[in-house]
Amino acid sequence: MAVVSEAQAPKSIGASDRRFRLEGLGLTLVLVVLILFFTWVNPRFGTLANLANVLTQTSTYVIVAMGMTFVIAKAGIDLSVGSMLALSTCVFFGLIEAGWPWPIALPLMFLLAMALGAFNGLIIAFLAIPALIATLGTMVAFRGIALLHSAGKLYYGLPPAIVWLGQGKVLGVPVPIIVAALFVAFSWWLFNKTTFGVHVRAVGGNREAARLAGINVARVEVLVYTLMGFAVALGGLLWIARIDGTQATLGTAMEIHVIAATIIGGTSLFGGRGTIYGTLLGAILLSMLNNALVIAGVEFFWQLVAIGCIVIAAVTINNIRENRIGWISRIRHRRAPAK
Amino acid sequence: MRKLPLTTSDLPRRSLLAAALATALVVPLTSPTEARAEPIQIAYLSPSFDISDAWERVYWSMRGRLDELGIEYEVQQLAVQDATDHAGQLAQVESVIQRGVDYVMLGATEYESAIPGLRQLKAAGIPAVVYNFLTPHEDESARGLQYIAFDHEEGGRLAGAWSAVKLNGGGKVAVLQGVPGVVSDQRMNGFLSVVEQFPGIEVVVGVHTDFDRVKAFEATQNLLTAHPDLDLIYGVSTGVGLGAGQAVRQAGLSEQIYTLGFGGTGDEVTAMREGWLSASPLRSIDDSGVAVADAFVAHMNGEEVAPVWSGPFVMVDAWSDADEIVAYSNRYSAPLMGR
Repeated sequence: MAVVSEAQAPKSIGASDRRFRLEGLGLTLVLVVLILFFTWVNPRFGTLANLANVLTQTSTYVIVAMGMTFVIAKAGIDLSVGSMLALSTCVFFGLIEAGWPWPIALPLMFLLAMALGAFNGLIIAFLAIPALIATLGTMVAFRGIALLHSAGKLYYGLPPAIVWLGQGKVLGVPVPIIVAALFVAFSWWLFNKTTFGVHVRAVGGNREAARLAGINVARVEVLVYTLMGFAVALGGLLWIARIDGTQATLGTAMEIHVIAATIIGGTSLFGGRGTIYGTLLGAILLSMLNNALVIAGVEFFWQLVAIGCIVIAAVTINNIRENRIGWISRIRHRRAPAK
Repeated sequence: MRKLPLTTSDLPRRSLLAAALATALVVPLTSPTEARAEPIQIAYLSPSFDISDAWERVYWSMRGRLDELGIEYEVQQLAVQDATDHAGQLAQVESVIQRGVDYVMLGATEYESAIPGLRQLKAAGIPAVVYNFLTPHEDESARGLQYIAFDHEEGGRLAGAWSAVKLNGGGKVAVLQGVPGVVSDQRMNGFLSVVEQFPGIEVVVGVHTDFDRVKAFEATQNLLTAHPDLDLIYGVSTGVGLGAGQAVRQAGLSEQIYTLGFGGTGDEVTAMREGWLSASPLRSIDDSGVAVADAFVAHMNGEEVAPVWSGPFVMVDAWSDADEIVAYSNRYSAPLMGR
C-alpha cells in the first residue's frame, strides 16, 4: 500500500484527522467534564481500576467502530456487523469443539469474517444495491446461517490462550485495551497516511469525481467492507474471550451502538469526512455513560433517558465548538470584528 | 517527604478556621456517597429490558420481605437489552463491583455466560444470588451464594401432562421456544418428555421467539397457516404464551385450540379469565423473591445459606378457581405493585 503525504492528496476529496486538527476537541472536553462530574458524584468512578474497566468494556466497540469509520467515510453503512460477529465466532467455536487446534481455527475465523465483509462489498459494488439494503439483507441472512450452524446452542469454554486475550493483563493493563489501542493506531495510519485512506474519503465525498480521477471505486468498496470484516473478527474475538462463550444471537443491535459511536465522533453520515480520534471518543463516551450511571446509582430507566440526553448534548456542544451549526456560525461571523 | 496533617489538632488555628469555612461551603456540594449511611446496597440485575411480570414481582417481593424483616437497604435495578446481551450484563456486573454494592441478585442472561461475572463478584467478595438456574456452577471461584429457581423441566412436565389429558392422548401440538439456551430448552424438554410418550400426539417444534410477545404472536400466525390442524400451542414463558393466545384469539380459534403459557403470572390468569389462554404451570413467584431476601439476610447474620432453593408448581387453567392461589403467590408484590 503506497504511503502519500496529505499535501500530495487532492484537497477536494474528503477530509481526515489531519485536515481537521482540532476536530474532536469539543468531544474531548465533554468527556473530561463528564469524567470529573461522575468522579465527584462517586469517587469510585475515577479510580484507575474503573477507568480500565470502561476501556476494556469499550474495546470491542472501538475496534468495530474503526471499521465502521472507513465504511461511513466512504458513504456506506454496514448493518450486518452484529450478525457477522455471531456467525464468525460460532464457526470458530464449532471448529474448536470439533477438535481443531486454535492456531488454525483462529485465522479461519478472520478469513471467514473478511469473506463475509467482502461479500457485502461485492454486492454493493457490482449489483448496485444501496449499502443500507444490501447489509440489511446480509444482516438477516448471516444471523440465519449462524442459527443454522449452531442450532441455538450456547458455546462455552475457549482455550486458555484465547481467554487470555479477553481477561488477561500485560503489566497491569487489560489485554483488550492494548489490542484496541494497536488497532486504533493502525486505523489512524491507514485512514490518514495512505493512498487507500485518501481514496476512501474521495469515494465518499464524490463517487463520480473519484471515478473520473482514476480511482478504482469498486476495488475501494470491496476493500473497505473486507476491512470491516477484519475489524468485526478482531472485536468479536475480544468479546467472546471476555465472556468465554458465544451463541448465534450474540451482537444483536450492535450496529446501532457502533454507528452511533462513529457519528458522535464526527464522521459524516454522507461520507467524505471522518476522524479516527473522534470515533474513539464516541465509543468511549457511550460505554462510559453505561458504567458511570450505574456507579452513580441512577435508576435504570432514567439511565436510558440520561444516555440519550447526554449524547445529544455532547454532539451539540461538539458541533458548536467546531462551528458546524449554520445559524450559530452566521451569528458568530456577524459579531466578529472586521479586520 | 513532608506528611500531610492527619488530624485537625495538627493544623494551625487559622487553617482550622479556613477549613471550617471551606467545609461549610463545600458540604452541600459533596458527593451523595460521602453522606451514605448504613443501608445495605443491593444490585438487582435482570436479563431483559422487557421486565416481565415475573421479574417485577421477584423484585417487589424481595423488597417486601426486606421491609418485613426491618432491613435498611437501597436497591439499584438494572437490565440489559435482551437475554442474549451477555457482554452487556458482564459490563453491568463490573460496574456494580466498582460501585461497591454489598449483594447482587443476578438474573443471568445464560448459565455459562454468567461465569466471568460471577468470578469477578467472588473475587471482590460480593455475594451473589443466581436467579433462574438450579445448578451451582462447578467452578468454586464462580459459584453464587445461592441458586434460586423453579425447576423448569418440572413445570414443562406439568404442562405436558395437562396437555396429554386434555387431548385424550391424541392430537397435534406445537411448542414455541424462547431464547436459545438452558431455560427455554428445559421448559420445552420437560413438556416433550411427557407428550412424546403418547403415540397419538404429533409434535411441531416451533421457532425461537426470544421470549418476546410480539414475536410469539407472529410465530403463532405462521404456525396456524402452516398447520391449520393444530390442537394445542405451548409457549415456554408468560410472554410467549400470551402472544400465542392473542394470535389464536385473533384467528377466532380460542374454542378450538388450547394455548398454554408458563409461570402462571397475573397476566396469564387474567387471560384465562377472559378466555384466551387455556392453562399455565403456576409458580408461587413471590416465594422466590422472599428466598432472595432471606439468602441475603442469612448471609448478613453469618448463618448458613443452602446452595439451592427450588419452588413448587401448581397447574392452573381457565376452569380452575385460581384466585386464592394467585393471592398467595403475589402476597408481597401485589400490595407494592398495586396489582
